[in-house]
Amino acid sequence: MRSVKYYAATSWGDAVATLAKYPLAKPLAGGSDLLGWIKDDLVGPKEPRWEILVDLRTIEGASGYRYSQGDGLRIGALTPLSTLETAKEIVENYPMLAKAFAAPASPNIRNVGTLGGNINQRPRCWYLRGPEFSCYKKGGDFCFAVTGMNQYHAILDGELCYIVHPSDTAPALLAFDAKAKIVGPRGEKTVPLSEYFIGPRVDVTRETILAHDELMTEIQVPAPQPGVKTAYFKATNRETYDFAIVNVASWLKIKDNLVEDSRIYLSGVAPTPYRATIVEQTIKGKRIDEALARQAADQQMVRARPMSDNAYKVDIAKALIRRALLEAN
Amino acid sequence: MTDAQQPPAAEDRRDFLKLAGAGAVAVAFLGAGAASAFARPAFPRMAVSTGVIMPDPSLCIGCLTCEVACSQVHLEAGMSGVPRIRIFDAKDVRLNPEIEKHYPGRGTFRQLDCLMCPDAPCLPVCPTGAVQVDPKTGARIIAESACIACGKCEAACPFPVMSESVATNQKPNGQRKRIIYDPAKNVYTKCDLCFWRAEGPACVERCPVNIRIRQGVVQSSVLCLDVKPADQAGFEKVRAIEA
Repeated sequence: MRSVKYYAATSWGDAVATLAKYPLAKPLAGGSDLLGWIKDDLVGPKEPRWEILVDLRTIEGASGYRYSQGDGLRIGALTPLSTLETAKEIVENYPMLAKAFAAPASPNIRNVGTLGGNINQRPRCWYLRGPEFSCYKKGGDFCFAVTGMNQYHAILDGELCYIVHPSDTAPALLAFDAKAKIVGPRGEKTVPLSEYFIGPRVDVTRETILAHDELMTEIQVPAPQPGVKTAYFKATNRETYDFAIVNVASWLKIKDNLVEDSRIYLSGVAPTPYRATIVEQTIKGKRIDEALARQAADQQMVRARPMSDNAYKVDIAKALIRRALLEAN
Repeated sequence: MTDAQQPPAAEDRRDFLKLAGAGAVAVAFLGAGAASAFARPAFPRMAVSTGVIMPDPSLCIGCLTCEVACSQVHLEAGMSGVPRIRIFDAKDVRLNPEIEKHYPGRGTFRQLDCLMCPDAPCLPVCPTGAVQVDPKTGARIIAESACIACGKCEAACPFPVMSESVATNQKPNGQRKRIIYDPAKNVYTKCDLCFWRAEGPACVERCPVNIRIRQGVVQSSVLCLDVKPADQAGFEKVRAIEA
């Protein structure tokens, strides 16, 4: 691995200023993805060779969480996933979130991997991760997945670039309508996570709204509501840890056995976490049973545009949507 | 005398009358005398576009690279980012066996774009002269800086697109014809053959099926998207493909 310079940030402002000053600086959280990226020397016309790592773990208060019945959950972006998956307040009040925090990778990786890093990690596409492929994401001029091997690529919302969003935690947080706190040279802002991710049409070289000198500092999850039932499922190729073929997180507000409101999100199927709006419309005001869950999943996946090798993901997505609706019911 | 300066031919009478009517309005607007309006044709016959995007639906895999590439290069050039070419799901299309072999199970699609009509009915109806013929390529283009978004060009366009309910990208933008309204910039826009690009239209350049055909991976004598002369024969051919 080539050498890079290391800088331990002392505050969010210090980190932002350093990133703004050095175009070849990159923020470092757990490093479980970024260090592999640098080791593989993944560069392209719009993917520079990063020279400085700005460590965010040294920022006081960047890690940790707090919960209150009124405000809900506030999680520092640098909090390790292993801390969150076992946190008493999260397990008791957001069991679906605890399940999602335990879903990525192995315990060892979750010990270093942070929530912010999991949300902001780069996609797993093997062409993106292959140094020999100059794909759109790296500033190249081709998507090799469209006419190549694409068994793990997008079945929904794909265009130009067919990555899938790799985060296990993002769909769960989106189902809870979480927000992201962002800091940058122009100060702080809070944006709904539903507006945080961007697809290839907006900018194929990145996956979030974050500019080079902006950082996610905190995730805010609203307080739990009465009558809400949730579920989370992840399908992988291997029994042991792996990236998701499909993830589904469901959040259903039930009143008198009828669905009053819902948020259903998938990841692993589209370039951004995918909101299953057709499912939500189909179940609204109805009592969920096996037939309705099947109908909703089937109607949603009419939208799917599988590629040459990944039509199997359509069936898996249908099955997981169905299970998520029935379990949350 | 160049083709652009020739008077309308007899078979173009209906178009000529339309042009003449629009010309009279323009003359009145400019305050010129009636005699000068009749001394020469109200509008010279427009140059035929050197190119029209010639689609082959049997080769399209609906990857939407053309749409996004179109948006990108126009945004980079400071223009509206609305894609000028649009892909629609079309069950009636029969796939080329090469596509079935290499990229199975993806569906069937149609690529709809401006046909670069030889008589361009969108042009004479524009009250500000925003719809123009690019002098280099002959492409019918809309100068966004002059567009007042009156919608007359869209209304004059004879070619509707398919229903947005079958648009492959599922991002409705209210498109009805080959001329599209962009609410973000409050202008109408259309295919301009990327007239400023030395590489030609971005959709043709970046289409992955085209790239694989050029590499010899997919065997085809025609491209998924190509640029062909927009003479009467080319115009009729695109119409026949779309029919």
